[in-house]
Amino acid sequence: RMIVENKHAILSAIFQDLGKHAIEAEVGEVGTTLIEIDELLSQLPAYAKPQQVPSPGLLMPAFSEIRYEPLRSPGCLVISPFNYPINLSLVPVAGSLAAGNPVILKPSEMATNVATLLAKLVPQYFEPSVFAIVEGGIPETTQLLQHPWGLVFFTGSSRVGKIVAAQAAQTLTPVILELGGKSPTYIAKDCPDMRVVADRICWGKTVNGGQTCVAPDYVLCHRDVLDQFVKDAKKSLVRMYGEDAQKSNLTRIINEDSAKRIISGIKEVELGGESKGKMIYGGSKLCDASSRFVAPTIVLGPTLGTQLMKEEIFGPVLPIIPVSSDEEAIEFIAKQQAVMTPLALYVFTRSSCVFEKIAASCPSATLVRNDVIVQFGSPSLPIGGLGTSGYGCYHGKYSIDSFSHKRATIYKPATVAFEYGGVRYAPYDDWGGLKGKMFVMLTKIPKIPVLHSRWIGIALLLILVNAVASTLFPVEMQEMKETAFNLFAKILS
Amino acid sequence: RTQLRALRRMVVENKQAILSALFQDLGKHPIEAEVGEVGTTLIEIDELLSQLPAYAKPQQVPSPGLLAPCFSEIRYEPLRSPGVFVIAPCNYPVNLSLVPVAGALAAGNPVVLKPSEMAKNVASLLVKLVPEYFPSSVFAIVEGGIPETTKLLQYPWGLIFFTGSSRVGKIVAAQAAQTLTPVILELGGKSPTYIASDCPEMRVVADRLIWGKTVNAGQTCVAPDYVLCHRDVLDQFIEEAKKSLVRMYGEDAQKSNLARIISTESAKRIISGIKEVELGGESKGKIIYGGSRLCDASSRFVAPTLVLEPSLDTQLMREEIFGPVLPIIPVNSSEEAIQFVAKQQAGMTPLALYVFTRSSGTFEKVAAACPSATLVRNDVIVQFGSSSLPIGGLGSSGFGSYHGKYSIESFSHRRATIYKPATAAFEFGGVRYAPYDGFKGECFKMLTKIPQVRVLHSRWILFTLLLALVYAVGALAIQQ
Repeated sequence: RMIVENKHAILSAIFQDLGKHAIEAEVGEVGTTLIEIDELLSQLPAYAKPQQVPSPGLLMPAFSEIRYEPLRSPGCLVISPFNYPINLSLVPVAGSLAAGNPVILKPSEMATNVATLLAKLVPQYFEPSVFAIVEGGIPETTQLLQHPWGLVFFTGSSRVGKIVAAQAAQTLTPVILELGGKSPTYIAKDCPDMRVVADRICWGKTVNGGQTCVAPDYVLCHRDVLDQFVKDAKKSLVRMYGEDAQKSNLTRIINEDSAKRIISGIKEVELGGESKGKMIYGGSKLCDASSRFVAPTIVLGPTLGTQLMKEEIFGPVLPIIPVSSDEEAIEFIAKQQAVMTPLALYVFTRSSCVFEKIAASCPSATLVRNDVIVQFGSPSLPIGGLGTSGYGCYHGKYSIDSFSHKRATIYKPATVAFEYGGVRYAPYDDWGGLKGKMFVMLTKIPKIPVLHSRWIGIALLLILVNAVASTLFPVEMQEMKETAFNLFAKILS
Repeated sequence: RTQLRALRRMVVENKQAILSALFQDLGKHPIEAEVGEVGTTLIEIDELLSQLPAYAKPQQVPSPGLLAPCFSEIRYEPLRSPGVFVIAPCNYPVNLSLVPVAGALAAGNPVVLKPSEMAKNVASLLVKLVPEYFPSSVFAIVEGGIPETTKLLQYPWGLIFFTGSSRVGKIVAAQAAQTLTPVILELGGKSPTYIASDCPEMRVVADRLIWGKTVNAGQTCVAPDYVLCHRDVLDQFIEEAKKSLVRMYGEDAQKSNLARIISTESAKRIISGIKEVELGGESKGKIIYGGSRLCDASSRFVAPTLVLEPSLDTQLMREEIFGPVLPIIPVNSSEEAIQFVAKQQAGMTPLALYVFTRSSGTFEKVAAACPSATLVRNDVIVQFGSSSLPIGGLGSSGFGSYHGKYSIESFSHRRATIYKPATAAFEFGGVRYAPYDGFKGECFKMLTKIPQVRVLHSRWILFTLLLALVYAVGALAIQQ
């Protein structure tokens, strides 16, 4: 309700912070957040009741179940970034609430309008003991991190992620880190319809001004289709943003410093002659740091030593690196990643062989064939990092799983009958060694499965009794069954 | 699967050597070790072997309607290179080393194990056996103590799995943070036990509780640390508890099957806890069975001891006991028990909570009021023997879980995967691309209202549905 009733204020705040078009924000931020909340609402019934699980034969009779309970008091701390300030705040918050935890949100101070709006709205819909907002920057976050939490959920850079994890370690607080990296994209020579490939990659690179943690960071393109891709990419950019992108729907960079960072990355290539790469579309002259505008730019063959290839770009600048084979692409990715693991790997190909080859050789947290970014829109996939891109995951039932404590529970009756003569207790050598042997035998008993209904249990018991009785007393059982059957037939007629 | 079978063979083929090493390190009777260490480890390996097929294939999941047509799946893959680092403790040196190792291997990770240097004979045995069954690139052992562990912790791992004390757990987690390595911490705490006035048959209650307190000489992370007993059944419990102790360990426990403490320092620690009560007159509590005079630190023997009402400021009530000493605290009601637990825990969360009662009302009341990582009614410790329950801590007792399929989940990376066709037909007129204004934007917004596309588990189901649809349409058309 908070989102739906204040949709326009939210879209307006996002526009003020990021220059994001209302339609892009309505689908990409508000829409995806509502999809998540609806998924949580539909998943909750499955987790409200304890989950029954099999019990070890060793413990028989025993009933085992898993109760999904909230995490440790006082609850969860969510630290969210500026790039999708609504979705990356409210989806973790929703997961936390779904699992029954109170939650504190520290929204990014860089997305000032959204932070201010949330600080105003949240108290209107929630008690502070359930969901509270803390505004601020590094000093406030540092202070919050000194408290023990049930969980700290951090989305942001690896540099800050390490600090958050180190602080949390002091209070034995578990952490989920959703970090970033450079997500490689490979266009194989048997790629699908090039116009669609180019449209999707350019969309992924320019949506939200390229400020997406799973944006296709750079593209490796097979030489056989290079010219085609370059041509179609330029056409895509013109179709989407026109000749003068500053008048288009292109989202702005969050602040001047970040815009300057990206522009200097472009300039480094421009000033390097062609030794550092070649500008083939856009360029720094079209950018304007003061209005936080970076023009969609394509760079051909930037070297691994340039800023564009060393750091996560987080802007609408697309490096294209030509390769002669799938193997060369794999080698390049291994060299560029060094010891890092990206959040996403994208492969455009018609053949599943090529796809599987790249997927197996290049580790990544998520994997998409023939599209980009879309995995983040799914409420059924576990969304999270691997290696340097983070750990832990969320979305849909994975949110409930991550924000809950799975309390292992066992019920046992405590009567002498079920002590089996006390075989588990010392002394172990009693009964001439038989006691010990019996105790060891217990571990060979198979698991007791869960009988989902006591009626199934009763039915199985009846079948067992019938089988045993028929074997032992065939004649009497036959007579009994005939009498019963005749009686039954009489009643029916 | 090959690795798991090799691990299984390593355990089965060297069972006698393992039982012997456990006896040398912990004075553990071979039957107790065969069931509690070897048996439970084999149960886990077998469970992993049976769970693996479910995880070998990608799991298909629904796709958002927004992305139709689209196929989504989750692939279970190993964690980041170079693999998993397992740091094991001294108390169950075989189970708490090899069960995490089995989980790591099951998920496809190479694994390095650093066994506890305090369980010397088991560590030496593993160092000898592991290279006979595994190439070091798959499963390697590193012997050592703090310096070696510190050095290993400086590398970036796929996961670090640590079982041990909270103090060291914090150090491990802080080091791991430097390399963005995820950590599972299986720590400890004081696990409270409550005997309600409507508890079941007291002999069974006493037997189980005493067993939990004295198995492995009390050195179990989920041992019932102390007991809150309703006054109505207090005398009965004390009487039965003493009888249980005599039945299990005889009049002279030093001649019994009772295990020994891992080291003389640890034995001294526990004995000094007992002495503090003995020397405090009755203000700090009363020894009603056993006592320090029956103990012998040099042979690492601590006699089973019952302490009535030790005060909260004693060592026995401040620290995890980890020895065969049982504090008994009388209470007048379950509310008083709940209050006591809250006061004693003071912000910590124990690994286990045990409640002995005939009524689910009492059980649920105590379970809801006292947070704990695991929960058992009418028994103790047994949850650790389950290969179907997620075993792990909460709050100060740790985070992350394992055992059975939870091992596979914890030691795997769930790689979210999406396949999409890339033909112009499925671009829906390019509604997702700029420029957004007008009817196009409205269409794009509509896409988010499409419900999830469910998984059709079989192409035959899909085929049948298609046929049914064609039939229905055809029949209607013919009717017309």
